Amino acid sequence: MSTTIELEGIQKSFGKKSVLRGISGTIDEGKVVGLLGRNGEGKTTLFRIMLDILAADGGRVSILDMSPDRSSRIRLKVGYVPERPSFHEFMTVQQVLNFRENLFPTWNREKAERMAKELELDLTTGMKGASKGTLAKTAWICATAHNPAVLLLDEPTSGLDALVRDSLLTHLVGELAEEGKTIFVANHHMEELSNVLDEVWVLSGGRIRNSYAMDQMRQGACRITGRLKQADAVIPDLPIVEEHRSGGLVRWPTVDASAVRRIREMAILDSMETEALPAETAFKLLLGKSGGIL
Amino acid sequence: MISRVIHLEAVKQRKLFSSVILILAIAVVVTNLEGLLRSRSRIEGIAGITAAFLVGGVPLLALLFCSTAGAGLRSSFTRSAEEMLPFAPIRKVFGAYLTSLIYFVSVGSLIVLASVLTGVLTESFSVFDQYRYVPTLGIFLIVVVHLHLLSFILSYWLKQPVLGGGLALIFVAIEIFFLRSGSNTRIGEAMDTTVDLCLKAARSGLLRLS
Amino acid sequence: MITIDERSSVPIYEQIKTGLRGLVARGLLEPGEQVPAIRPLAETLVVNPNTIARAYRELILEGFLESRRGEGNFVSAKARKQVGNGLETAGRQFQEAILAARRAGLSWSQIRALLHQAQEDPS
Repeated sequence: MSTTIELEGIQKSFGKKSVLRGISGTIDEGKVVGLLGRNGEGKTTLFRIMLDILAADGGRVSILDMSPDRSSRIRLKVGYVPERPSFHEFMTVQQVLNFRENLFPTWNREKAERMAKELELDLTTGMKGASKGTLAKTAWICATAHNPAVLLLDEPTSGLDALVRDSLLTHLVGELAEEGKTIFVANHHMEELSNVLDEVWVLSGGRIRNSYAMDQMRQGACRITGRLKQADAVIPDLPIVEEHRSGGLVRWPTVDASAVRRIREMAILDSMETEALPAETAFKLLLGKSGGIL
Repeated sequence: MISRVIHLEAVKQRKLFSSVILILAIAVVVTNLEGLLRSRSRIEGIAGITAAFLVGGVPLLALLFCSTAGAGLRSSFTRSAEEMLPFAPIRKVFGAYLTSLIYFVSVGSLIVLASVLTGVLTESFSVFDQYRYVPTLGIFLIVVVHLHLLSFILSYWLKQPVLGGGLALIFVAIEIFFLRSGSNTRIGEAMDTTVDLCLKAARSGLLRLS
Repeated sequence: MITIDERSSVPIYEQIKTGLRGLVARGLLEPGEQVPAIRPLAETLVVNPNTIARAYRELILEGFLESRRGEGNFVSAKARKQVGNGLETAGRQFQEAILAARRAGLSWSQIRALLHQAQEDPS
């Protein structure tokens, strides 16, 4: 399996503010990777660097064997849904799509029209004062109608009503069903993608702190409770996300699939119980902790 | 690809273009009416305003079209709507410049045509015939083109149309000043006479209006 | 039809397999009937199509499904028997769980209460 996306030591500062401090990671062909990070952590900056819109201060990017070179060839092969899509106000949806049809050699008109119909997008809607739903749907078609091999999605469902969100998610899965589509997606409600993702990267402090395989995370996401045999014991290297203690009672959330077994082997807890955690909680945990553990 | 950019920029800049055409049309109509009121010939009225436009308006238009185009490229709105499109930034800049040039030349040609038709062109610049080694019309054109290019570049760099245009004007004025009083007397003299005669032509044009 | 339990730590592909087996056990899916195509099922469940593909692949290998080229995947004739065996195993596992609960100290009324609770639970 070839590596479709390679990021190595990407750095970017804006003036004195250092936003990206060395982002590294690889994404294989056909994989879906979620980028988890709070607002302002640099997700959009990373996307813009990958799209050759913004130049990094250091590091290396390779997408589909192309590196950013201030031409626009990467953008021809990659589909991008920005965080706040915007289009020229004097255009209608149809005009936006027509404009892009002339720019992308691989644009598929039938696909664009079919998607507009499925998403219930009125092609005559003007971009001036368009609703979030219209902008998101248009952005989605613009990102996928030219059949790019890679999709970069920056909060594609944020601020949308439940029905539109559902439609977009369905289409996202549909795109995946096409051969070899690689998807890198930042999403505040990552849990809605938890069954689609292969991997999750946690972006914090300008770096990818941790990456988790979704299968492992699903198995391992649980909360361990119990009573410490030694109430004030200090235990280093616990395979958990956060330490909560009151008296001798502990509540330890973890995403590590081996945590339960290892803690049991350590034999430090009485009345040990585990409770499975839903994806949403697991993601929240990962976001909250600025330096996760394995 | 370039044609796509030009098409886009043409639509974006069309408001300015249509406003200018409108202003020109109104000016012509007004001077006509005014001329009729004072029982002067129609041609004279138009001629006057045309001369003014020629000498003063053309450089101003160069400024206007370019500075708005240049600054427009850098507005945050344009950025968010266009940055992810698959054309290289250099093409976008070039396309925007070309478009503003096309618009400017269209309007400029109209004015020049009017000048030719009303005889203002030859009249304004015929005085220069004695100075055969001075291609004053040429210099005028060079100044205008220079102004056009400079205001585009400065507005783009500064992201501000007014500041960029204003600075370009000051720049070119300083250039002309230095060229006038420059060491090379021929060029200095040429610039001198050009400026003087341009001003004279403008004045005579304006005089005809009153 | 098939639902994915968000809270469960069981892998998705496993849940799909169990779900399909359950449908056959309950008679909602008959041998010879076609199972949903990968893409529409993925879209409905918002699940990675590869995951469904994997579930189907394994079910084919186990003989529960058979693939007909160009048409899709169908419940095999042996499926009923497999599921029957599966039900047996599930029943046995349940009996073992009751035994373990009793050994741990749960009373019969507590066990009945748990059963009642499970019945009431809409999932």
